[in-house]
Amino acid sequence: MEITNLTENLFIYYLHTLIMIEAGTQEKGDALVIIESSKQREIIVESKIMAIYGESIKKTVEEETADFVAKIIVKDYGALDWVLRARLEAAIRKFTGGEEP
Amino acid sequence: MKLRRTRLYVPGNNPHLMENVGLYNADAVILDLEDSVPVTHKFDARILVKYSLQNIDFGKSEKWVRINGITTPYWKKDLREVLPYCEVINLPKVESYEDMEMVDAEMSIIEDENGLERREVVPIIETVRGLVNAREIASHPRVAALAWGGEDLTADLGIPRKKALILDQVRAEIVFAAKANKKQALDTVYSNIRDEQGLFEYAQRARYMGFDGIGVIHPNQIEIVHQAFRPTDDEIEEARKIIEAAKEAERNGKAVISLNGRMIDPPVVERARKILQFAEVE
Amino acid sequence: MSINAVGREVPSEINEVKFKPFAGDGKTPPEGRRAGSLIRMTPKGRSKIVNSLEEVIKKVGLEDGMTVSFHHHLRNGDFVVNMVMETIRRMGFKDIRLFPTALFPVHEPLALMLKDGTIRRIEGSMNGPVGEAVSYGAMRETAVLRSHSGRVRAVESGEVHIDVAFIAAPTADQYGNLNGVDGPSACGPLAYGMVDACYADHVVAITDHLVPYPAYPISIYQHNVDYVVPIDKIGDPKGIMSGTLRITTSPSRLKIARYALEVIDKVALKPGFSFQAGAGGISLAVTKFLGDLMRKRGIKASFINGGVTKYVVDMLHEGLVDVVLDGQAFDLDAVKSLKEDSNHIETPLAMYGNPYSSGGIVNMLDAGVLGATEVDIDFNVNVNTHSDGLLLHGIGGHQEVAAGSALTIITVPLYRYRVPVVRERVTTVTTPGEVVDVVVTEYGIAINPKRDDIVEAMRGSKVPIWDIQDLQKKAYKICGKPQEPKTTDDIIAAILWRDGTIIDVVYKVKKN
Repeated sequence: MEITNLTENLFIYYLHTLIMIEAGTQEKGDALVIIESSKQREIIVESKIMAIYGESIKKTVEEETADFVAKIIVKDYGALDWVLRARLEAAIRKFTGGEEP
Repeated sequence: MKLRRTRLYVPGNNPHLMENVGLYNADAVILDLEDSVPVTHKFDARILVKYSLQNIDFGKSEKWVRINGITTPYWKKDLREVLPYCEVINLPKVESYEDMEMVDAEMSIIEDENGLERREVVPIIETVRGLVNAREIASHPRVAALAWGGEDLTADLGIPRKKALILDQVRAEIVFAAKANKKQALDTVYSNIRDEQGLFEYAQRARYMGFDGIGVIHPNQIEIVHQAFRPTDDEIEEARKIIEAAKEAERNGKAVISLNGRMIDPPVVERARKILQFAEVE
Repeated sequence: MSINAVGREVPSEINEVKFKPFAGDGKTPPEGRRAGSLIRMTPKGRSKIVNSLEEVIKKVGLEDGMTVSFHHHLRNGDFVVNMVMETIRRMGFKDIRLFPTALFPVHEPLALMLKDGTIRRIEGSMNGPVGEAVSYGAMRETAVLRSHSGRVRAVESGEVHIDVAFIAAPTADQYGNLNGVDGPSACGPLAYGMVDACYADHVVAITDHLVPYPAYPISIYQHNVDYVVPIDKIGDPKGIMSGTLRITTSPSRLKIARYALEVIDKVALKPGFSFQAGAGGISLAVTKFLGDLMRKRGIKASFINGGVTKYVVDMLHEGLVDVVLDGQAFDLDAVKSLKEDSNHIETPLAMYGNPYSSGGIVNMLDAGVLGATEVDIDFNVNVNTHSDGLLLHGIGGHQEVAAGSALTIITVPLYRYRVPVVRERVTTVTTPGEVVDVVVTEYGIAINPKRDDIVEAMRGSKVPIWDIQDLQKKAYKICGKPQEPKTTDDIIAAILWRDGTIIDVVYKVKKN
């Protein structure tokens, strides 16, 4: 009984401290944004078109997530800028607001 | 009245399928938040659709969004995000005038808050109850056109869709309900995207049943449907003459329009106007 | 270094050989006499059959630094290049110059031979991984890329001398008559290998289908072939033949094909006209739609130059075209037709579009539809590199079709997964804007302003007509302005125009 409670408590603790959400898909022309709770701000961008739009992607991520302390991973599959912004907004709102579908 | 021969359904969570959507000259494009979006992606899709409405070039196409039905927890959220940026709300599974009232009230709040013009609604009749109430539903001032869907309706009737013998009666009821209220009637989709001849015949049949358009699920269907809705040369010629006669009567201040000694009633003039519009002729 | 006629800075020497800068199509006249191969003799009674690659390499006297050649009719199903090169490596040869007509992803193992010194350089089209490795600087010397006909010109003029030509032969007899229409690895014509067979000092056929003497039909004749090596398998039919190619169902690609068709209709379509067919998704759709339109109008074409596919064969059989000229077959329908139809003719590559000849097939073309990785506001076309600077494709017959055809249409999407295709400046110039007439995208077309006649012919058409600069601006509006690729000053490849002048160079790419 005690053990079960402990596990439950740990699980609840885990839920509150280590959140990971994602928005978007890995389809071509889309982007997948993953946000993990972290004490530091960290941005990781992966894209096949880094050589062509890497700077633009990073700039958009900075703009949309300014001052946001978390680990933000963007996997880009050739998303247009507005698509990336939509996925970032969805990810942030889910992460911060606990938005349900 | 706006041409609504084709309304192209596009899944609401697939940006790549949306990007070029303005290129295909559909009369309307429907970004779909309902059936094409799994429950786990409803939120992502809603945000994506909000952005796409603001960023995509829709060309000549009217911007529609199919939101989730009023029995789901999503429809109000859908409206909140997308209403400011779209022109028409496509509302699934409408069953009564009261349903329309409820959605109307929610839309009015959002429109007032944002200083928006009134958006139109195209309800989709998908249940027996909805069908029975179709005439009342079509009479709601928000309603621009009436559409219907066969899958749920046949399930509701307890018959297999492919063997259903009642669909033409359903179609007739939709047309009567819409036209009695001076609204457009829109037929459902033709789902075999490879059968061009079948699509053409289906669309032409819809036209002669009194529909103003059908739904399309692939851009390659659009041109064929537009061809099917294009009146024949004889019809166009006849309509031209009628319109000419009407103008002539107006110029001469005559109340009665006549062509070749025959009296022309106002609905005939109206039909002639519509034929020319479908022919995309001024 | 000097600035050439398309404004690119190009060196005067590549691998210590002098090259002229591109001066414009037809602006650099030919010089000298054709080169020749070693005169040699197969005495009566000597067998040409050799039972291993190692033995044949010894017999032809291969040495370090020599040039070996291959054709690419087996495409991504080819076993021969890897097998021969691996044997050469194992035997300890170094500094080989590899001179294929083209390489494919299946040839990725060659990248290792660039590293270990077996190969000092590749002169030929590099599709995929080898090109990528070369882009990052894997090759000691500089690659030289030529179009199909440019390669013929280089061999005929002696610019490249082939020491040993290894010819994959789907069918051979023991005395060296070869064809590509029979056998388990049938590929259709052997057009790409014909020049090599005439100009190499030694010619080795490699086959997995040895038939009694004489083989027939004959594409490459016995008097040019020194040895025949029978092996188990020269290729994988799945990679050689594409299976029945299906027309694209992508609505935007179909839109491009429809617009291209409209241009052909307004500008070139007339009884007896001719066109170049291809196997790309859009090309295939254009061919199919053109067939439909010709049937509707009752118009017959005089010939189709291919890139032969089922769609072309169907038109031949239906009588919509009188003759098919075939330099490359893509499916089994094409192979079967080449074998059976007397009006389906295998054409040696020397006949295709070599500017230094008494005239190629391309000079007789009314319309050609080509693809591209990029197009710019000067109508220059890039088919070699991607926008990140990586060298990933060969030139193929792009230059000669563009230069020869009366109407040259480039079909491209405005952008691909955010990467603009219509740009301010192409990353690499493969084909100069002066030989490009119309760029067709899903958003509409842009006509080269020097073609008033086309502008006139397209008047009143429903196809949206754009200024090429507006098309480029539209692409940048949708995608954002692209960054310039991060390249170094090291030249890893020279792109030659079909006359042997340098039209552009490719720089080494920095790894991210």
